[in-house]
Amino acid sequence: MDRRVFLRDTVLLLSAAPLATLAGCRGHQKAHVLSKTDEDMVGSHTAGAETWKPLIDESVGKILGRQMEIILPAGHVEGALPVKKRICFVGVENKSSEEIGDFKEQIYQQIDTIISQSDAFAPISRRYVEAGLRQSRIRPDELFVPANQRMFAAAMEQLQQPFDYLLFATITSGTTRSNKDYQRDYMLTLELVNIQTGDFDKESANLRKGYHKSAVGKLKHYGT
Amino acid sequence: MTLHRSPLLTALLLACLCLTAGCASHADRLHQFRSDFFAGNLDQATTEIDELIEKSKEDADVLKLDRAVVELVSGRPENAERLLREVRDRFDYLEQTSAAELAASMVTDDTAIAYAGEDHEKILILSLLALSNLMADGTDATAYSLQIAEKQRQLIEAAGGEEEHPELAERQVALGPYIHAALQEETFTNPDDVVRSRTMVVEWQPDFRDGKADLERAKYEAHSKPGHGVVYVFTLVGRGPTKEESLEVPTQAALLIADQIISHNASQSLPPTVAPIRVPKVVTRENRIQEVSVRVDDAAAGSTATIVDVGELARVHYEAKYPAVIGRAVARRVLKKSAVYTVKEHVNADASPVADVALTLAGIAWEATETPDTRCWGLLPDEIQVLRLELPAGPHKLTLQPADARGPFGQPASVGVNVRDGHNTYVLANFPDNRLVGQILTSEEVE
Repeated sequence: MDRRVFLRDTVLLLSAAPLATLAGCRGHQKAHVLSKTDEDMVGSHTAGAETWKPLIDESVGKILGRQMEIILPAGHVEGALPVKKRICFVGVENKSSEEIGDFKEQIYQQIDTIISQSDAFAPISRRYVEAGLRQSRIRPDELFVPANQRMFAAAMEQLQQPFDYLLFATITSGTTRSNKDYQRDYMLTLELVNIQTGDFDKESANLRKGYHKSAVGKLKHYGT
Repeated sequence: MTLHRSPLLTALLLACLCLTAGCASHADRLHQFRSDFFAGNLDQATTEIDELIEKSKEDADVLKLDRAVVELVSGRPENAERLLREVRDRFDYLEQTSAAELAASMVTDDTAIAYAGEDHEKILILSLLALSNLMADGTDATAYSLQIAEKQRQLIEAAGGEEEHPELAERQVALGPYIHAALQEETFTNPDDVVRSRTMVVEWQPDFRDGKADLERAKYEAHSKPGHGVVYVFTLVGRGPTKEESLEVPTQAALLIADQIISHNASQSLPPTVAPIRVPKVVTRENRIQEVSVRVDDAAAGSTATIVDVGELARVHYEAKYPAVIGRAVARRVLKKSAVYTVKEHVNADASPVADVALTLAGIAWEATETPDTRCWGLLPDEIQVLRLELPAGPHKLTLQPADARGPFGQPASVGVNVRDGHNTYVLANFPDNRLVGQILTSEEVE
């Protein structure tokens, strides 16, 4: 090749190199409303709606179902609704390895809403729960100490919000790693404590998620 | 033909000087309203910023950030929040690459690219949004505090991840988790969130004086004792970083040698890199204020501690991007030289000394027109500091005064705050120098 042509081509190639990386135009972000049949987006790095919604539905459904059987009185007349037991839902504790950010409040509200739709239970408004904790200066994790529990119950009585049960929700996770890929098992546990008897009931729901750097990772670990 | 003979070179250099003189950079435009702001002439600074927004539409976004700071310290947090939100959304849009603008920047300079904010500015927009909202109704402060962490995650990923830029992961702004912890603590229902957020603060800002004590308290204690509330005193102290023009001499020298090698071997000469390669550099300033001493009802109560070192943050983020700035500057020069080379080939300039000199001169002049992109948020503080105080419920007088290693100096400023039992009260003050600029804002004024 002629030296002149070679140099010209080289120079042109060099000058084109930065422009080659320039492809792309700015676009305005768009959104659409999902219908009830649309599947939830699956979080690529952390748990999202695809994880929490089924965990909430399953765990709350199970514990309410079992409690319905327990609290129905022996002489219960078929078809008649039992007197609703009042649940003080203290909060959701995140013990997993992930930040759940704005999902925490949503998890609380979803559990609270499902309980409020139950025939056997009536939740106490969160605003009263906060006021009761503020008034008694007790942290939720201190409510298992009997004296604290009594103090809190008295504060709620003062707020005219007596309750029969304390409900605690806990999120945990377990991570299994294989090089850059990992599987995370999520668990939502509900603990219902009868403040009169101290008896407690517990129910959990699990969901496993695999996180992969590539489609090959998915194929390697799960064969799909 | 060799261009490096003194009379011709002198003529070329003179031409460069003529072409580069006369254009005011953003750094020049900043100077006036910055001086007025720091002198406490907020109305004057507002007028000047508004005039600049009107005159230079392309700089409007970044100027609105300065406007937001003026609004905030003037006691109008709602206006500040509106402006900051507007710019946050604009920057989110402008973060995307525009091929047309990048192409234009290759034949002109980086100012042809719409300003999408430096990374530290994007984080600080959210930080000031959180503070502004706390001073207003506080309803969105939780969301903003979460967005600070999320934005940092995005920016680290965009820069190539933690492996490539561990310094970005190590130096994250802890104000987001700090505010989140404060808000969650006030609910009394989420102690785990409080501990998690306080842990983040300690990890992200290990030098934060109160980080470990806050974490220990969060693990074992409630928000406050019965009959008490908490006051968070936030202060914006010192004069923050700006971008100024700097000469990238090693790159210019390397390009000049490359020009000579190619010119020696090729049939046409390339325009020599005599026009300096001018790039923006982050400039931080001496900040005398080490802390702001706080007196409650005329009794010493403590002093603020640095939770965000804005100057350091700007420097670390800019250094991570600096190779890209140099890369674009070199690519631009290569493109310009190759364009001149192609024209010379086309007109057979090697056979016509006049055309050759004219084209070389034009090439140098073209390169000399480049202006460094010094657009930046000019009214940032050098540091954001905070002090948490637990006080009995009721009205109190807070007096703030800047302090250095030798103790308080400058003019003290006072404000009345109302502390509610079991609740948070937020206070924000701006001390760019030895006195308060604007007014002390509080979320709970004494009635």
